[in-house]
Amino acid sequence: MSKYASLKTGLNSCLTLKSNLKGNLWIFLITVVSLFFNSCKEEIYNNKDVMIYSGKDKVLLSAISSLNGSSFLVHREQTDGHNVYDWDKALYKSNFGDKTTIQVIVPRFEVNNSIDSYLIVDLDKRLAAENIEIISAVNKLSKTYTDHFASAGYKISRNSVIEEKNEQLHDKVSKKEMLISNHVKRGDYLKARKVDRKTSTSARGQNTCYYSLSGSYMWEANIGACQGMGWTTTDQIQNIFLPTLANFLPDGATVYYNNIFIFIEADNLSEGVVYSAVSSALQLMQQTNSNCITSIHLININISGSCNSSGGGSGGGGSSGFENVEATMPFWAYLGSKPLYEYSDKCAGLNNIWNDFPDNEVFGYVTQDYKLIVTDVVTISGGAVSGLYNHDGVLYYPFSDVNGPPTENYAGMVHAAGKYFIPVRASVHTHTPSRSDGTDGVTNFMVSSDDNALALAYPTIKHFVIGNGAIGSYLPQYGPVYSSAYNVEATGNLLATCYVIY
Amino acid sequence: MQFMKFLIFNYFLIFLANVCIAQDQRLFEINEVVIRDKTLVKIIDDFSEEKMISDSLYRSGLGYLIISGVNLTKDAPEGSRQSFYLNIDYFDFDGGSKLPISYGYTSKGRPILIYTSNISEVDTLNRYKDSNNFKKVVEPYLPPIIEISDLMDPNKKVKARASYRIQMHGGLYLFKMVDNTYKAIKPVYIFKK
Repeated sequence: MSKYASLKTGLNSCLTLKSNLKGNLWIFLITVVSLFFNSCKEEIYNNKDVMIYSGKDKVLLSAISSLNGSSFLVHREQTDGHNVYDWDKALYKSNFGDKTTIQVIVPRFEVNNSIDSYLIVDLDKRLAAENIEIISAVNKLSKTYTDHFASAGYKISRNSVIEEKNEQLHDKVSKKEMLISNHVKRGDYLKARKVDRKTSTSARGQNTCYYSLSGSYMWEANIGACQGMGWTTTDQIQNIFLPTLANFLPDGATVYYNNIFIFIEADNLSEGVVYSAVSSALQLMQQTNSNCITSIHLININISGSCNSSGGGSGGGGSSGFENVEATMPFWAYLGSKPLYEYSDKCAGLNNIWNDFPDNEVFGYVTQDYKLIVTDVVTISGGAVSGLYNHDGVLYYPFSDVNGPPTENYAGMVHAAGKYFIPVRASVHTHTPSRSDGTDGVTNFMVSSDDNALALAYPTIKHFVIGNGAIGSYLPQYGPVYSSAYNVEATGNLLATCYVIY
Repeated sequence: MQFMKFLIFNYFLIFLANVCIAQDQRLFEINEVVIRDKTLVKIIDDFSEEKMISDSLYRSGLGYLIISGVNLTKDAPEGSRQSFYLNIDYFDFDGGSKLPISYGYTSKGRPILIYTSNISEVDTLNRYKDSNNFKKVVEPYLPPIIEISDLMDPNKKVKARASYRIQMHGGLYLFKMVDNTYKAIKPVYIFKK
């Protein structure tokens, strides 16, 4: 009996083991399969419908704009009476609900009606399924434009290639388009978009290619001074911008200056400024802000030239011509601003930036040799300020040498790669509102999110704030901010306390 | 012997499950999310639109939004239960700077980097196991990377940003009230200990 019982127990445990094994095996298999699916789960996002149309078609434009209430394109009436498409507002990637993405690119061409504007709508299919209305609206528009372009001799392809009816030209054009688009992708600073068009009677020859190079923040220079010192903008543009541009252009290219669209960022609301000229002379068409110019953003230029890959014929190395547009981008080497103000006497400088800018916040750095460079003057409501370049743990303030060397000599300064690099030891900025809010802007105040972000970005240097009769410092905080207050380094007259900033 | 095998097998399964969990945690590292709180979404959208008008650098296509957690102080509006800070920024993540918990997009497609777990009502669109995808998302909104000569060795080429920009001030403090409405305050600095 006991033998039978032990046999039964043994058999039972054996069965249990078997079923356990079986169960575990299933769990194992399921785990492996789910792991596999988890790791391979990848959605494809880049199915795109593309439609192209002339920007002159106001009906379609308004139809597109009315899609789900999003406005893509803003018309702006310039003082010279031209309608100019506002490029920067035209490049939007818009979500419809949270499921459909539409991207609109509208290069701005209204040059004597000689070049068609066009607009590309990328409809992201991943999001399509749940937005039938949008899809059908866009498809309808797409058909309208397919018809529109068909009547003008164009064909629409699904890969944003404009095919012209002239096959010979098309071959050359599409190669260039490909070449450019391969190198210059959405989101790059310089976008190259070619608009090709036959010029039947042009003196420039039979096949002229038109390119629109659209970018932003391509070049930065302090071209004016704050505090009513006035502009020298036009001179600076001629002296700095044009030579820079010349470096960038392919041989034999003709630049249409009336398409240069430049933003000048000033101390208040920044405004667009359009330079317009018949040929090579730039004229300022519109000047909207004359204070504290800090940077220029080149938004859009148009270039025309031979479609031939050999360019103007005198290139010699076969490297001229439009194919090399994407390769000639050392433009960026010119970025960076010379300090607005330099003070060998740090205390005098700190005193100046506090007293001379009652309505601005001033930002700068203390150099390794205890001098002061003022790099940015922004509004009370904030703005972007200049950051630092980290080289082997040393933080440098970098700026282009286009405007020449700095006024002061700085210990450890390096001149390389078309830039000057000034080593710094501390950041400093003013808390201007404390001039009038009854506080000193430092004592008992918690470190603000932005100040903390600066310290997080550059944790190896010191960070100071100047308030009304008080100087504070702070260290980076890694949790939610407002864990700690500014350290009050000194209180009293700035000229007497400035020594704590070093 | 059989039982030993069974035990070893079970240990193996437990080990595998742990590995799975660990991997799962890494998958959640910087996810693409959609914020479900429509009021907050609208505030973020409006803020971005306002910056499009008032800030030429942001308008030119650079910059992303950040939303971070802020400790409530005694100056917070009465009835606040959470507080956030919203702003734009341009800083890069090349030097291993503080990465966000997750990210999403405004309705106009600007990335919004989320640094706080207080925004818990989110739908996860995609899970990414490392930060590379996140960096790709932000890259088009940062100053471009260029190649320059090394500062100390002209023959050596190094990568650098064409420009380095950081946003100073100009953000919005958001207070989520007990009734789920928001109060927004826009000072440079206001909060005391």
